[in-house]
Amino acid sequence: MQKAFTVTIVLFLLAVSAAAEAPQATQAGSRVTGLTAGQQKVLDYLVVHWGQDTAVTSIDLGMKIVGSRYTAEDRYALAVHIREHPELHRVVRRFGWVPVALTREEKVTARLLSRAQREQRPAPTMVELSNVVGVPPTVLRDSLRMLERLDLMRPDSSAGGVGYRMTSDAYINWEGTMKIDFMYHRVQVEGQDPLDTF
Amino acid sequence: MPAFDLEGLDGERFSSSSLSDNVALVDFWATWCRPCLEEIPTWNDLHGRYVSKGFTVLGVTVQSGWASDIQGDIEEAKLEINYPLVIGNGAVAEEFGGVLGFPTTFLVDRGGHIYKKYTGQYPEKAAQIEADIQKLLSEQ
Repeated sequence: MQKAFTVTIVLFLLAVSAAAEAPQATQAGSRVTGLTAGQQKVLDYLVVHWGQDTAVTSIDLGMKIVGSRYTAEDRYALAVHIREHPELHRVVRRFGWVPVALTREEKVTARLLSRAQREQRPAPTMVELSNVVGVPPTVLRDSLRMLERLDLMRPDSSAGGVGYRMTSDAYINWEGTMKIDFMYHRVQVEGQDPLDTF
Repeated sequence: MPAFDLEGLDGERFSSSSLSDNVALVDFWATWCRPCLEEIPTWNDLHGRYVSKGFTVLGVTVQSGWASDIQGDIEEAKLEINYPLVIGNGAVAEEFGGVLGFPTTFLVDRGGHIYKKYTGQYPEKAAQIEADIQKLLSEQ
């Protein structure tokens, strides 16, 4: 069994690198009410590009590529919309809405808090988080607020540190079942749009 | 082996009790995992050769979307799968002891106990599993 475990990581990486799928432009259900024209533009971009070259492109990257001025409120609206509409694309049905909803800072923050909770340690402090995530506390506070608004974390002073806990066991043990909720892999091939992948 | 009751690709429920008294190979796979797809002919072959002796294969499809997505992927890849497929989830994977990589394959004895877990795809895997199947089938 030792040998089998030794090859696990290599094979997982092979599986991931070899994974490829045909473009999947499932746009039929993407035009629904509730989004602004600008938000719809981002969604249209994502729906066309998800699945191409293993893309699981996040909303924030989509907003940058589309190029207009977008706010955290736009991202929140899109995240909630995608969460409520898995019929939009099979990438959402495969991997869920979380990987596309969160920014890099939010994913790293969630990982750190999730890990602390899994290992039954106090949550990191704001200073510790800020150092590891590499952003100032003001940005970190926005990240925590968004994670809370998206119902991934909830304030809990008994957690210690920044005082947040994950809302579900699924987010505490997210790594064990190969979910990509809080993974951040952004790549760019020369001459093409950047993309997030798994 | 943990008890489970999952939706089959055909829409019917599939319960772990269906595997009772059989040696069972339970394969956790995803439609986008190339090594998983490469192993399917081996599982077809083992299933075909040993099914009459009390052996069966069950594919537990995870992180691959809805049944229609999985069916579409199978057709797109022109896969022939001769054993039952069910739609799995994280909870079932956890109850099997965790799935850290794809493919992850479990061999279950006639008594319903997990005999061995094989993680990943590697050259000697098929021969190792076949030897284990023969051993388990020989035990009454």
